[in-house]
Amino acid sequence: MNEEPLLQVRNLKKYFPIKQGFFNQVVGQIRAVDGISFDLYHGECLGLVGESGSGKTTVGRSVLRALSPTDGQVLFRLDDRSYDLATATEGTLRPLRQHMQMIFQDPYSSLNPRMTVFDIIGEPLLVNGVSDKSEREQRVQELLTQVGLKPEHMRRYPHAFSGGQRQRIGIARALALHPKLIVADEPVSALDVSVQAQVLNLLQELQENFQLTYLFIAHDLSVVGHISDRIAVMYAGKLVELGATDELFHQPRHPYTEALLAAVPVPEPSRDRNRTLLSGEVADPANLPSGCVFHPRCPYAEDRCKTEVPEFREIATGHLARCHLVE
Amino acid sequence: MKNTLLSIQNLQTHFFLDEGTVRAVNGVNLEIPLGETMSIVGESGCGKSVTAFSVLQLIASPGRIVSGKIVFHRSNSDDVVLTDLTEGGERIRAIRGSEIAMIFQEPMTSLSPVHTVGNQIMEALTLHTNLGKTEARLQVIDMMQRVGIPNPVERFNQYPHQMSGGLRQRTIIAMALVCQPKLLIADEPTTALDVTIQAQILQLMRDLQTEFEMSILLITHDLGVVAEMADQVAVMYMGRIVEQAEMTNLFTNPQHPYTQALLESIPRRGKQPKTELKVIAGSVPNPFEQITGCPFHPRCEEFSDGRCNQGDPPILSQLGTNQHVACFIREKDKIQ
Repeated sequence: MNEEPLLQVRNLKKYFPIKQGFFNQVVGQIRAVDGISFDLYHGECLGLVGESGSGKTTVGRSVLRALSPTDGQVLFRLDDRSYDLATATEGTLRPLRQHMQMIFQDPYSSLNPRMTVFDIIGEPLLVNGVSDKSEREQRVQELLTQVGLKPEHMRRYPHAFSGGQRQRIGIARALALHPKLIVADEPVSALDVSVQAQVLNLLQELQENFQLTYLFIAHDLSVVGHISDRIAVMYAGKLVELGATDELFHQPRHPYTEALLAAVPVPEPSRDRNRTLLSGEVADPANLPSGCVFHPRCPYAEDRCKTEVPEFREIATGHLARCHLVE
Repeated sequence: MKNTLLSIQNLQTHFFLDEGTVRAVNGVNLEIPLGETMSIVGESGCGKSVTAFSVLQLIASPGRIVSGKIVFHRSNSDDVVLTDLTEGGERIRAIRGSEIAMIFQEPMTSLSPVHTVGNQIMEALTLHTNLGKTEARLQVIDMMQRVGIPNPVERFNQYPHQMSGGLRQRTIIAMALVCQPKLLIADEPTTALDVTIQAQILQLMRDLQTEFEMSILLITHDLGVVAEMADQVAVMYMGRIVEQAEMTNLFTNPQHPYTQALLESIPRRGKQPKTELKVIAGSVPNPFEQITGCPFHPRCEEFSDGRCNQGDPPILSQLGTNQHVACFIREKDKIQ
């Protein structure tokens, strides 16, 4: 991969103020995302995993400027020009938005129940200047076929569809404007296992057919591992490890990644039920521990882990980790 | 032959709605062995939770147990037919929470926000035993300690909002176990928790099971959790058990086409990434639909017309093992 990345995220931060009292004084900051950097190459899928509250959704939303980042850069490359989405004005952002889309988690609340499927999928087209109705109809029918639904489903309302079908509608809406980048935030976690496989296959097929680039956010390591080329692991607002899927699964270098892999129940009956487990709970982003954020739960923690913040550094080609103890 | 703690015989629990009748549980037979974990696994709407709720007579109108029998075998050979007890009557209430306890999925909604956690755990004790307040309090604190709640004396007077999700689920487990039940029904006990916390709670449940020698009926949709916890597994689809086996057999030698497809459709670590996953065509049918024959036949790859869509599938038992499969196709294979 020696080409220019499609997306370069540099030291991205997003803090939310904690307000208290009658005058809404700011008494603290929740550091939801606290200095994240990664590259996303054209046509790849980067998985972003972490437990709830680790900030993975905030990263997804900040990248698309659905949230304004507190600090940092999000460089998006389009036709040999680079735009900083973090600071771009609304006017600059507007024409860029069609190139980046989002797929949401909950197929029940992300579709307006009063709009027909045609209106839902056709809206991004209408907003972006496809004013001819028959042209829109044709495109919506084409999209429905691409996501495995039937063209005649166009006139129905969302309530007539099952969870998996609704997620397909959400995917069709995201694809309507031929985007380059898709941020998929837990796209299959609300679905049943048998339907989950259908949607994962569809996402993979679409990626090949349209050379899409995915930022795939999920908490389920097996799902992320299945679809991603590389995986980034988040803990308390920071990336703790990033590497190729295979390498990360077979040789996790950060103790948190190791613990996360050990904690996931896998459908293998032969696994040792009494393996070592991580104690304690996820760090509170409003009150982060000093030094390495993971040190209170880390089985290998040393004295310097409590005071010195580890760097996110390359430990092998394309494999980064944030830990003092990794050589 | 193992001792059975609870047997469910041909249970039918239906919901009578304006739109029609939902046969949520449609003829379930299940035996929960003493001291072991029986897991019911299935996708949403398959009837796994309704089966669990039926055991405790917690089916609210418009639902009703239409037929079938649930027998609770006490150790002193004094059997209680739970389905014969009056709903909400004294006898079922004496069993609920003391001999059979239940933990629910949502640690956020199954605790009262206006009572301290200590008092909520203590309520079960004062209801079912004659312990005095001081003594009950001591037992509660002991129980809180055993489920791994740090500083139980301090925590006793705290409210649920002061605790994290993991601690709340521990509180609920303490509440369920404080009367030392013989059977614990756990309905998706870790679904709302993060993986590292889930691993802790599962470990805790296993430890407490050995300590109290209780049976667990574990309801889950996650085959990973099944592999982690269960001794016996029953796979449900549309209100019926399609396959039942010992845990290891179910994973290494699944027989029913639904179980096989389900196991193949989950992405796994170590499997070749970026390959196409095997899928089960279509989706779970509308609950009002009445499917004649095998309930899985519209989605089954091995469907054979004229056989699978007529009558109830036969229950086949594998010789020598404790594996039962409800399938027409497998019958042909096992003819000799």
